[in-house]
Order: sequence, then C-alpha cells, then structure tokens
Amino acid sequence: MNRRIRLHRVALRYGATPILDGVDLDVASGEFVVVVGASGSGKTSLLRLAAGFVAADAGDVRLDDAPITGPGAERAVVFQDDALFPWLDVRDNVAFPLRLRGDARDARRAAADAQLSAVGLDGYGSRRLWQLSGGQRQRVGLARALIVKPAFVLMDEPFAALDALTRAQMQVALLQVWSQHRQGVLFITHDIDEALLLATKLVVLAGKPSRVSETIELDYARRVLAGTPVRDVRADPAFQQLRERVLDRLFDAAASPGAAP
Amino acid sequence: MSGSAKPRLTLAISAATVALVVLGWWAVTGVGGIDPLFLPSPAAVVAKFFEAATEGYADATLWQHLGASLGRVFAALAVAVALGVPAGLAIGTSPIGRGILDPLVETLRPIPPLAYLPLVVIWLGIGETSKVVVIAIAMFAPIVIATASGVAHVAANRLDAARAFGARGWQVLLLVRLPSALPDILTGVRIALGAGWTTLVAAELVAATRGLGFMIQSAAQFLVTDVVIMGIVVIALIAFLFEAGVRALERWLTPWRGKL
Ligand SMILES: Nc1ncnc2c1ncn2[C@@H]1O[C@H](COP(=O)(O)OP(=O)(O)O)[C@@H](O)[C@H]1O
Ligand SMILES: [Mg+2]
Repeated sequence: MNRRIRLHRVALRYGATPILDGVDLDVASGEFVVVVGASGSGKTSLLRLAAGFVAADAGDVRLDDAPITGPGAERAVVFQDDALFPWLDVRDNVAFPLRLRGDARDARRAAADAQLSAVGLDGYGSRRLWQLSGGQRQRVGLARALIVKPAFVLMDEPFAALDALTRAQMQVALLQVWSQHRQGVLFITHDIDEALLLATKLVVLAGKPSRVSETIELDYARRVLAGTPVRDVRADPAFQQLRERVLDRLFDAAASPGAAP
Repeated sequence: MSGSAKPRLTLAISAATVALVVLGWWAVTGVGGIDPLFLPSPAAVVAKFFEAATEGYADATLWQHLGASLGRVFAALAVAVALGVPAGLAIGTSPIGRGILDPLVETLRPIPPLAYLPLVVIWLGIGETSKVVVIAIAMFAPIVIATASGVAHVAANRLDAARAFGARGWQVLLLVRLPSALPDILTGVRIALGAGWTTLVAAELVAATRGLGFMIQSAAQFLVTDVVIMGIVVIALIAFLFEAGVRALERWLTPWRGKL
C-alpha cells in the first residue's frame, strides 16, 4: 500500500525563536528521504513533528489525509542515542513494542530473535546492552523499530556517534534492510556524504529560520544495493560535484542569516 | 560517592585506624585505674558477647534479641516500601500527588522518632505494631524522596521511545519510569535501612522484652556496661552488613548502573 507523510508549509518555534518556517516535505512508501542540515538547524524538530511528539505552530502535518496528532505504530522511530532500556536484555528491548501491544511472551521473543537476525545480530538476544558496541546498540534500536512492521521509519542521526568504519558498515547494512521491505524512511543527518549515499531524495535544510532550500533525487543508494562498491560511488565526479553543491547551500545559509534563498 | 572499588590504600588506612582504636582501648583499660563500670576491657566485651550468645542476657540469647530487632526492621521496611514507592510515584509524576503528599512528607521528615513515639503509643498501644510503625515512619521519607526524584528525572528520549511505540500512561509508568528509577529507589532503601536501624533503640524503649535496643537499655539500668558496649558493637556491625547487602542487591538488580 502506498502511504505518505506530508508536511505542508510547516512552522515551528520555541518561545519567540522561529526554528522552521514554510517547510514542505514528503515521505512516501519506498522513498529514502534524507534531510541534511547544519547542527541546530531544526532537523530533530522536523523529525519530532513527523513522529507526532510535537505539534506545528502553523501549516499541517498529515499521514495520508489525516492530520498527525500523536505517535503511531505505523511510524517507528530510531533515536540518536539509541534510547534503549538497560534493565531489559537485547531480546526484550527489541520485543518491547510487542509487549505494549499485548503479544504473548513466546511469540514476541521469537519475533525479536528473527528481527535480530535480520539486522545482523543473530544470537545476541540474551546479551545486556553494555556488552554491545555502539554500532550493535544502534542495530538493536533499528530492530526494535522494525519489529512492528512500520510503514515509515524515522531516524535521527542514528550513526552520528559511531566511528567512521562502523558508520560505513551501518550505512550499507541499513540500505540492505530497507531494500527488503521498502518502508518510507525519513533519515536525519548532518553528514553530507552519508546523505548523498543513502538518499533516494535529498532535502537540504537551510536558512534562519530553516526551510527546504533544495530537493534532489538521487540514485546512489540503488547503485550500492546493486553491488557497486561504496568507494567507487563516492569517487564518481558527479558525487563530488553534488557534495560541493550541498556544502555551498549550507554555507550560504550560514554566511547570510535571514536571507532566505 | 565512593564506589565499590575503594582504593586499597584507603582500605588499609581504615583497617589500621580501627585496630589502633581497639589497641588504645585495650591499653587504657589494661593499665588499671579505669573502673570497668565506666569502660570495660575489650576482652570483657568479647567474653560478654559469647556469654550472651550462649547463655543469654535478660531472658533471651543474643540471637533472639537480634532476631526480634531484625524482624521489626524488615517488617517496617516492607511497610515503608509498600507505601513509599507508590507515594513517590505520585509525587514524581502528578502535580496533584505532589500537592497532597509533598507537604506531608516534608513535615514528617525532620521530626525525631523520640518525638512521635509517645503519640504512636497513644494511638496504637504498646504492642509490636507501634514499634514497627515508629521504625517505618523513619524509613518512609527517604524512600518517597528517592522514588519521586527517580521517576521525575527519566531521560526524555526513553519516554519518547515508549510513547513512539504506543505506551499508554500506566505502561510508561510501570515499564519505563519505575525501572528507570530503580537505582534511585535502592539508594532510598539503603538510606532508609540506616535511618530505621538508628531508630531501633527508641522503638524498643516501650514495653519490649526482646531486641538489641531493649537489651542495651536493660543493661544500662543495671549498669552492666560491657553488655551496653557489646550491644552497640553488634548494632554497628549489623548496619555495616545492611550496607554491604544493599550494595550487593544493587549490583544484582541494577547491573547497568555506571555502565550506561
Ligand atoms: N525543547 C526546546 N526548547 C527550546 N529550544 C529548543 C528545544 N529543542 C530544540 N531547541 C532549539 O531549536 C534549535 C533546533 O534544534 P534541533 O531541532 O534539535 O536541531 P538539530 O537537530 O538540527 O541540531 C536549536 O537551536 C535548539 O537549541
Ligand atoms: Mg538533532
């Protein structure tokens, strides 16, 4: 089924400070939408709007045609600092959404183990969180999000705290997991290379207050999934040019605050 | 906070200090000139310990006195946890709960047990109940305050995660806030055990026939100083064991403490 999260002319402010103004953003099933923006540009705020944690001050946020008024099972969230529960083992963390739903214990544990295999953590169910690396913890967070078979996955800089090597591995692993079910993904990052590599649709957030300064359709993710090595993708001159273009967008906005493009 | 990994040097210095105090005590009582009624020798106290343990003192062995005291303290702990944790939850998560309970707890907290003891006796009589209640009152505030602070300061992203996956109000409370607060609650239990144990002697002032506090008081009336000191040492040792016990409980129930 084709579903869609749509933000239309959305504004958000904290107190008197406007953070987002006139933001338009669409995430449809099968799309991997990456929002790139400088630190403090309101990326997390944007995700929280789509997740239903906060309400917009103006404009509207809709799921298909209904206004989003709160969180929902069809929109799973992966948090920047994993936000897992240390009193539960890995398996019970992944099964947590099923527990809320009231699934039987055996069923949810089996489902959690299957989901753990799907994210490359086969056999880690009985581990405790502090026995995992940062990358493994993010995989647990991803498994917890995917276990409810959501239509959308909302991810807030999930790899920002990882070392470069682990991050590169996680990016490819994420694309592979996504290619299985083709959920709609809203992925937030401040890392331009990561954004270019993962996005089927790249959204550049810039200005003060922030708005969408550019939207670019990309196919590097598909190339990676088709088997092109990430190194070759990055070496593509078009990739480098896009990188410069996005960087310019972000710098322009930083250099002339208030001057909306 | 000094964690469980106390540096060896500190430990050695502590052991030496205790040894020195005992040595000094032994020296001053050994020279003579000090009336044993005023300060008996360490040997006399140790002898009294074995005597009380086997033959007993004041119609009961040391173990029976200890058992009576421990029974009261743990009964009081059960009451204080059963009432204090829900009260802390109410204070930490609801403005109404906070409005009602906060002034009550804050009023109760600074009152010394000897001050409310007579009132408890008037209301509940001189039986076992009033002893347990006096100790429980002393334990209540630390548990309430620790629980309230723990459930109120849960990391925002944990609550967001719970809500994102569809947790309702009571599920957030039981499945996220309460376990998040468990380290704080155990800290509250540790402080409460200390406070309750301290209150023991006061609680056993009234019509007790068994208990460490009772044993000390009855010995004091007959100026049996070695039993008084022996009782004090036993109380101190038990307090030390409580501390170690709760720390073991913390390692078992909240193994993530300090790791995540
Ligand atoms: N709850 C809040 N109250 C007030 N200001 C906030 C709040 N959350 C975020 N901000 C501010 O809004 C701006 C955007 O924040 P955020 O959406 O987290 O940006 P990003 O994720 O892009 O770094 C920042 O300047 C931040 O300080
Ligand atoms: Mg952010």
